[in-house]
Amino acid sequence: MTDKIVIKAEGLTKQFGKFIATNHISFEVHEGEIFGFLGANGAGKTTAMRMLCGLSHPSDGRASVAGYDIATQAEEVKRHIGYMSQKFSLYDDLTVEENFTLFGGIYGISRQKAKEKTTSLLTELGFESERKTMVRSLPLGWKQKLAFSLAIFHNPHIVFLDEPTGGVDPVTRRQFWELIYRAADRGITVFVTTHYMDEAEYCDRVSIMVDGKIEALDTPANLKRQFGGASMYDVFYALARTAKRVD
Amino acid sequence: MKQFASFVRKEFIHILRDPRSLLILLVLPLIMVLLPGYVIKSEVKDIRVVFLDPSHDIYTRQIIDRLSVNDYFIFKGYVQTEAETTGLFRKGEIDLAVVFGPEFASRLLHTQDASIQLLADGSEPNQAGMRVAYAQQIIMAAQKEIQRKAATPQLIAPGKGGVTSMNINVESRMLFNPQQRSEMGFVPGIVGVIMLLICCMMTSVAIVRERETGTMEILLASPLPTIDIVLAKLTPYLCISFINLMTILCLTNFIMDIPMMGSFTTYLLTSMIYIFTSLMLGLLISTCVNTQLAAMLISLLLIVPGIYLSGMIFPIESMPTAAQVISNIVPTKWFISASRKIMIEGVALQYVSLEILALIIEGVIFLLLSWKFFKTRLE
Amino acid sequence: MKALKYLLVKEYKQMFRNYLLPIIFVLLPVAMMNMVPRIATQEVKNLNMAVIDCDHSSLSSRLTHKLASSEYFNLYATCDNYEQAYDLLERGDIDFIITINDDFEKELYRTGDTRIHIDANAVNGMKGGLGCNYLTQIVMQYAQELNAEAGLSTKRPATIEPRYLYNSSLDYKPYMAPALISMMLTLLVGFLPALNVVSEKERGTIEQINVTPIGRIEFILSKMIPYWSVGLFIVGFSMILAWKIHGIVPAGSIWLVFLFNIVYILTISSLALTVSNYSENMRQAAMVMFFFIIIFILTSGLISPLSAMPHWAQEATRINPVRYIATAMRDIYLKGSTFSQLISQFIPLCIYSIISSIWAIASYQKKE
Repeated sequence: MTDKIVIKAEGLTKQFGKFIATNHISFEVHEGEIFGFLGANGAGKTTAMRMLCGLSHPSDGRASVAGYDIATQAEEVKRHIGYMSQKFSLYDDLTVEENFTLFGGIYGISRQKAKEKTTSLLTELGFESERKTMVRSLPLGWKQKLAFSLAIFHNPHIVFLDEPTGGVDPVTRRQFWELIYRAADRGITVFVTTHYMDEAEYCDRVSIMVDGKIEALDTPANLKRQFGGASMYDVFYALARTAKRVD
Repeated sequence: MKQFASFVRKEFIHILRDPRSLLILLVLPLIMVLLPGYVIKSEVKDIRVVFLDPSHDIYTRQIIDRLSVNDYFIFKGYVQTEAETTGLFRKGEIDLAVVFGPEFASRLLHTQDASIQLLADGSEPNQAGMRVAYAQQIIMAAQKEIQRKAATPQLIAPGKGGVTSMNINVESRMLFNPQQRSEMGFVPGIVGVIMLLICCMMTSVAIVRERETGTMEILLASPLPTIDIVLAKLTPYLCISFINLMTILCLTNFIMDIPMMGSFTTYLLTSMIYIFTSLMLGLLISTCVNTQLAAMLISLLLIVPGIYLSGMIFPIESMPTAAQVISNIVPTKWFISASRKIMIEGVALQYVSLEILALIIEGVIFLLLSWKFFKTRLE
Repeated sequence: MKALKYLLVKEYKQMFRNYLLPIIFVLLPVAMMNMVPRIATQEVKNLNMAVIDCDHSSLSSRLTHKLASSEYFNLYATCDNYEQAYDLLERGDIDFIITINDDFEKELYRTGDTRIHIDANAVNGMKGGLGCNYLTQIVMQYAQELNAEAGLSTKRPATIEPRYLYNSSLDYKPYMAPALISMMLTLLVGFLPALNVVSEKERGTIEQINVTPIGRIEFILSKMIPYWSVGLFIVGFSMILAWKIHGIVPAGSIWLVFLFNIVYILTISSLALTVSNYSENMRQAAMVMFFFIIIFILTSGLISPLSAMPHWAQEATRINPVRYIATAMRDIYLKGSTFSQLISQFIPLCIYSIISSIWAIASYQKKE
């Protein structure tokens, strides 16, 4: 982790009609950091993340990712980020290897290089035998791990993970976080949304969103001290019960 | 019953939430009825004609004038050679060329071997046939007049009983549709196709969608009997087709001047049976496939040939025997036949009993088949 | 543009892994080409009639025999009275009732003028009208025969000799087959790309693509090129089928057929993508595409001739791209028209394809 700021949001806002999904949020994320983005369902996490990824146009405010403005240089932003959406979104009618080759190719990685990289990645995951398996027939936990590997396949500066561990068992979640740490060690900044409070503990810093606003932002330890809770769960509960938005 | 009602409400919400699709479901049928009424016709008119007239005499001039002033023909000028017409035909600028033989007048009066050739663009066979027939009629009439005026009365030996020639006059009457409006045959047919689209394609897609998104499992796990779930899925489409049926009938009756000649109740009964058969076909498709795309493609693959075989556009009796036999399994064929009889001819129920019976049998077969497939799926 | 290659590999793999699609690409042309030209005929033949012969004379029975032996008509029944015949007509067994009065022969010999009545079921106006024409012709011929036998002659008018160009036997097959190719193209290339993009939307995979630096044009091309190749395959394959099954070959240049179809495929696939860009789910995309395709096909002249439409409608069909390809295909196949003769069809089609492809690219938004 360095002091270099890779994500900087200033008053970032998204409004759908009268509904303000994300309400003037501001924060900074440092290079190599694991930044947790917490909030109840409907708090505006996904909307904020989609704006940072250049998938959604901000209604107000500004933000830069990897040094590029998300409103005016969205395509440049995309060159330097990886993204793993909430909805599992690998092509399930392609094999594991074909998915890697495809996304590698999109970022300009040659077929040969992609092949080598896939081999080393799969070996690391202990997944070499499933190289030619159709993604559709893999168990969910494996699909998630693959989706993550794919999101950092092109060595992005920052990877955005939108509730990456939804619906998987605790063991797989643990393994998944090991992957995240490994990526962070390689200097990739990780921006992750979650509503598992144990996962919040793994983050370097955590922000908690309530009703479209960031209500707290600090390291897990500081937050616990500030709100006088024993765990992140207490912190989250203290903030989230003030929420007026119901899903 | 209360549970059932709430299920039906849910199905309606699905449809109402998508106003674009709903609009199409309600408007497309009207357009499909209006188009044949005002746009898609098979009447022959505006026959663009050129003349090749080497003899340039008073009689050819008379014939040309008679054709040119006729409402059905549009005079497009003269050509000097037959080759010239080829380019015009290929560019699609003319439909007919009238080519007079040489020395037309003198041959007509003296040697009696005058000739006229009608060159027609034969690419559309019926249109070509009718265009030539019109031209023939007018030229014949023109000649009769010429002969009457130029008459150097010729003596003809009287035959038996003193008659000079024998004529058989044909008096024809066009039943049910004296003006031979093409939409009379088309409209009852198009109703059949619309019902098939909505009941068969929309229903199968809606059910498969539920399976694709996984919500079908939830429904099946609920205490509601399976039959109720299926009925709840079918109800909205039943309603929509009924609304469509009513709007179409209003349209044909009040705006397009195609009155219902037969009994309204008979027509309604036949339509309801047909809607039932189509819904069952949709149900059957939905039990056979896994994805919306497949449901759509299979429905299309059944509907498109079905339209051809139904007799809506192309008369069944002109088809080869094999196709005529196959057409019997197309439900739309039976519906179209029945509704033409009821709507336009105004026949009574007993004359459409065969059609109704066929529709019921097919509907029941579809129902049994889908029940069987559904069972195997569950196991 | 390098990424395009990878996207294309993906599209083709997905296309061939979906077992249904390749089957349809082969089966649809085979089935349609076999079936449709045979049944899509508006020829009026095999007409069933009933004769009510009240005269029972030798002349009337000869007339009945003459009508029955015509190639267009079948004598379904001879009836004793009108009610009986009308009942058959209501049942749909017959479409024509010919009534010969009891003084048919007597009148003919006495005054030289006699009459018969035809009742035609004109629900299908074309059938009723043409059937009556045929019947009248047969009766006229019969009258001439009688005149000749009796040694009576009338003055001979000029012979009128019709010649049907490009389709001398007035067969519907060469008329329908080229149009059928356009119709299948419209169905497949109009529907499938639209459904493809929307299914990526529904599955969420399009997000994963949108978050990459792929250009709009690359993405749109990756969706269109596979269907262009499918479209060209359908055209070529259908042309071979038309040739092998029905012996129908274009009178004009085969390359011209392809040239027109390439432009047309570009047009219709762009329209499909445009619709998919505006749709949220499969049903919506399918409905909208279906709406346009049905209206386009019905008003294109594929099914009923353009020349029979009212003038305002003929003008309105100028915004229908199917009209140009249908006209061009028939003209090349039947008349052997050349490029310069079809320029008035080619230019609007080109304009249409440019507009629709620009629209397809512009309407694809990587951002909301």
